[in-house]
Amino acid sequence: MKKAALGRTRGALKGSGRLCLALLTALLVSGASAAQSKLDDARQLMQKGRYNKAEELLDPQSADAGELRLLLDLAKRTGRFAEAGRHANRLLLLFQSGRFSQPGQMAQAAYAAWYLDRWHEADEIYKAAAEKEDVPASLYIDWGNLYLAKYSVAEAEEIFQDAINASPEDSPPAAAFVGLAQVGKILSRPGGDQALERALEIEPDNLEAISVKAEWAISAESWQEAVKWIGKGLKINPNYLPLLEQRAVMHYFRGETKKYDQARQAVLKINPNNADLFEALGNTAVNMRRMEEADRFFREAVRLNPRQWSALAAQGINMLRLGQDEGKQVLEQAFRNDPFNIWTFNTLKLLDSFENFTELESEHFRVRLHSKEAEALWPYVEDLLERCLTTLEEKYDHQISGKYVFEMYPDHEDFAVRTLGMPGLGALGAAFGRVVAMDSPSGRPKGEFHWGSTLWHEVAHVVALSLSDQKVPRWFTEGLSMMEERLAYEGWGEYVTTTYISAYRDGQLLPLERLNDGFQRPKSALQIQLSYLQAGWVCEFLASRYGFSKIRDMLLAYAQDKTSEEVFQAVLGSSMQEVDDQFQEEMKQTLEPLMQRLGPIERQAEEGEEGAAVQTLIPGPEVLAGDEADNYFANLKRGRKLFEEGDLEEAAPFLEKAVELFPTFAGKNSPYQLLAEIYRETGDRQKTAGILERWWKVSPKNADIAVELSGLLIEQQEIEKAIRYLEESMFSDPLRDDSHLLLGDLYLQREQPQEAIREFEVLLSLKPNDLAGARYRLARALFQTGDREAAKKELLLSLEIAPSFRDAQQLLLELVKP
Amino acid sequence: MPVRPAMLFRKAMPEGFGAVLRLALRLSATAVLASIPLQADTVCIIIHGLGGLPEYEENFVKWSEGLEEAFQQGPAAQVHRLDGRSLRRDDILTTFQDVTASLQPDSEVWLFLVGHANVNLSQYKFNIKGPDLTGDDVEGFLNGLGQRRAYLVAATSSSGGLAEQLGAPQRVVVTATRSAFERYPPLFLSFLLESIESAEADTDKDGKISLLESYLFSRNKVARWFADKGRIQVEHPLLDDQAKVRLGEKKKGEQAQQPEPSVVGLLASSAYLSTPPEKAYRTLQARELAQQRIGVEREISSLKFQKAELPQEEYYKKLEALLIRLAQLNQRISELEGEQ
Repeated sequence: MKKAALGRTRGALKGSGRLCLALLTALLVSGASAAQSKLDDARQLMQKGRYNKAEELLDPQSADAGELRLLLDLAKRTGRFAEAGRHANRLLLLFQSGRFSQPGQMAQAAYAAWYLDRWHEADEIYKAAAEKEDVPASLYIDWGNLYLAKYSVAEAEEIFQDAINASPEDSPPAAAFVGLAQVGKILSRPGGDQALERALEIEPDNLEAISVKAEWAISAESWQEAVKWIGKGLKINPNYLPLLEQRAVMHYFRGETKKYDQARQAVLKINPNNADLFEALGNTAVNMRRMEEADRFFREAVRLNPRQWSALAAQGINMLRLGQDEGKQVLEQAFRNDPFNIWTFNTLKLLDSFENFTELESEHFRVRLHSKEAEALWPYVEDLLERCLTTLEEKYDHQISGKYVFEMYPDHEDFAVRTLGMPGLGALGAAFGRVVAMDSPSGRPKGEFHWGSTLWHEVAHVVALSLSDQKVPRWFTEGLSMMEERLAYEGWGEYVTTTYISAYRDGQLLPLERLNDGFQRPKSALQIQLSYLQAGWVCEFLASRYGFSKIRDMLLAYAQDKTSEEVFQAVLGSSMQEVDDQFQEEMKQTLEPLMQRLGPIERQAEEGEEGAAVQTLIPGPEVLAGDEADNYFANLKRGRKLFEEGDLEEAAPFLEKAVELFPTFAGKNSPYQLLAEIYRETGDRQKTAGILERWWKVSPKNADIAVELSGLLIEQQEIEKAIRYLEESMFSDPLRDDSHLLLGDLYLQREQPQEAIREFEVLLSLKPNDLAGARYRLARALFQTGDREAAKKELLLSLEIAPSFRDAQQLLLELVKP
Repeated sequence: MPVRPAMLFRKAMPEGFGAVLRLALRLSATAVLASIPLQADTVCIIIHGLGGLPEYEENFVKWSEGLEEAFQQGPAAQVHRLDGRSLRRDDILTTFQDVTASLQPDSEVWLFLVGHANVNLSQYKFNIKGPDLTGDDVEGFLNGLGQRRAYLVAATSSSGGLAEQLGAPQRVVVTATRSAFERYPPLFLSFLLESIESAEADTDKDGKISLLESYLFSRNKVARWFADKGRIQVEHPLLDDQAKVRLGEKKKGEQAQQPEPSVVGLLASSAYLSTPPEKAYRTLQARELAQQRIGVEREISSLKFQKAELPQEEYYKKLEALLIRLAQLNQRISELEGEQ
């Protein structure tokens, strides 16, 4: 068409100049519009999935930037990578020869450079084009997508905004809103959903927006929604690959094998080298904690397209989740080829830091602890890991195969990178693949973290995931872990709070059928917190109402690819709705009397009582008591007011009543804290010990309480109790020297030298100020075991620091006595 | 091999680890032996500066008084407490001159700066009434002491640079912060005062608190205070011993597990903030044995300086023999004195 138009132009040039110019202009316009119309036709055909027809319209020898871009896209979509490369190279060569100077043309050249992995060049071309006049919005959208693909999310957001600014106000580009929605999702920022809605409002048939909708629905395991969006999109374009891929993903994870095979074939028919499908399968498998399946998918993606660096990086990270150290080499290869991938970068940086970690081994775990605290943590970590696994294996009648990796991070962001590849994770621990990772006690504020309980929670995931062949839904495994940590030891785990009661009263809790959304796509941080508590309570309820054996049966049923509804029907003989109705009744019975007793919760919550907690089914350390007419907050408030006024004796009975009414509220500003201060102030050591003991039993997170309590118990000759509380304190803070010193001394006194040795060795690893004293104590413990040589060695080390240390001198004389 | 992410538009990330680890030099045995304390004449100058806010002022005054009391009861023959809220720079420089003029050749000088300070154009400025007292002023005073031993404790914000500026032979410089950028009023001195009467600080169990013991105790307490409060530590005390050993410096990469320089034989370990009361023995024999004990203690110190040169087995064999001897002497003295 172009050739003909040019020929006609030449002929016309023989006429008069004015007419000639007019004709030339008309012909050029008509030629250009004809070319444009051809490209529009091709685009329309592509939009409908008629790729072959679209390609027939296009000339592979064309020198038109837009035409070459379409050819490149078509070749890419259908997996003809070499051909796509040829189009890209041609586009770029034409640009370099000076053929393209319009911003729209330059944008296509930039796209070609991007396809060839020449990202910086692409960026430079976009930048140069953007400085010209009349920049099309499509340039910004491509450019924004480049930044999105290269993980520069903040810049991508700005560029998508530029696309909107460059468009007429009444017709903003839907694609820019799709980009903004993805940015919002990556940054976990609210507004992503709204941006996507806006895109669909502008262009209801926008396939990218529809595809993102489907993708999000799949990641939240909202299958019905996914079906809806996939169906809608495929009606518009039955060959739209992202949707075909998602259809396959959906069928796979719903356990619909036959449908999956068909859907996969449909994808591979269009593009036999489609790595995106397998990468999407891998990513969804990771999202569902099915790491071994993810590994297979990522490997397949890389096999089909060895240049799919994102899949290679995902494979490397996933191998590390499976405890395969070779993942590092894979990640390094991915990083060499795509140095922009922030997940790769963060993970490699973390792996570099592993040189600061010590590797240890217990019977069932390969353990990685930071070298600065490994010696101090190891005795307790090893003991609890094995105790926990053995307990749960026995309870669930299920043996875990092979060894798991257990890691503790003193830097929370390292833990986040290990878990997500990115900093900013709110969780304390995570179990994924064959790895359990969590914060170390030094990674959290003192007094707010019980690492023992977190460890128990995460190891419970290992058992539930293994028993269900990694197919347990998130709400159920979280619920089981919440239940197990509460059952582990007195005071461990979390209690339902006043915030929860408030949410219950206001109808904010999710129905059982949608409880998974509270984890997979929570509307707020609070919803996650509430969902944990609710899931835990649901599991306690199931175990109590139907018997624990049903829990095990449910996990086994999930392993058979059953949906939750099918599992409930098959194992419990009731629908999810029926069970939820029973559970609602259970909550009503428990919470409504408490609501009376608590009064207006919101107002009180502002004053810092949002941590108040109530009993559910597992008996807590105290039994709720008190007159129903009594009000917890009224007592607390009155007691606090009197306390603040200095009327301690008057304040105490109100605070005692508050503790009695609501014994599980043990957080900051709790009545326990005030009562402890009152009894200290009034010098009543017996009562101080009493309140500290009750406080510790409901909230064993603040080791200060245990240390002070033990000191008081020692005064009262309650040595056994003192030992018990000090031992318990190690599961909240094993990194303070005073508790090891005290506990070691008590063991020495009771002639339990092995335990004393453990404590003093830990003490020494913490580099206490009184090093000579610690070595002397260790020498004494060794002496008690009869190991005189080892005792003397330690003693010399003590006296080397402090030659005048009298106690050590006396022991030395004792040791060298013939 | 460390990796770094590529970024579009952005330059490569800067090197994050700026601080260079200063290599600590082990002191020679002879230098250390020379530092075994003599009964020197000790002069202590305590200057407290402007508080700015009443709560700071109250603390600065309280801490200065605490130091004054400790030195009056302990090691110092003369204590000068100067109030920088009313005294000006010239007044303080005059006091410096007067003190210098009054010193004996073997006198030792302690100088404490308590208050706020800042660094302007690389110059340390201790905030007092009128023009500030500068790092150069302090340097002039310390240089004027010649070969006399001097101990400077700059318990102020932004004091870290003084360790580099003022570190010199026969001098220990303790700063409450490790750089000019640690600008919050430090807590360091409160812990240093606590250390003077703390059994926990007396790590060598000799009944007296050396500047080294006090520094290490306070440094740990500062770190724990911030950790317990869940706050970022905004002060990191330094100790510079004769410009040869520097304790408390930022380690490369912060988390790296690098050993501190050896603290054996530092001048700071023989400078005492508290001394036990003179022991009066009831028997001549006990007095003689106590003299022998001093000799054995010296031998132990001497042996410890040779630790790096001796084979480990030989070192510990000799140490054991000396320690047994020391223990026996103490046991005998106790028996003679009728002690438990």
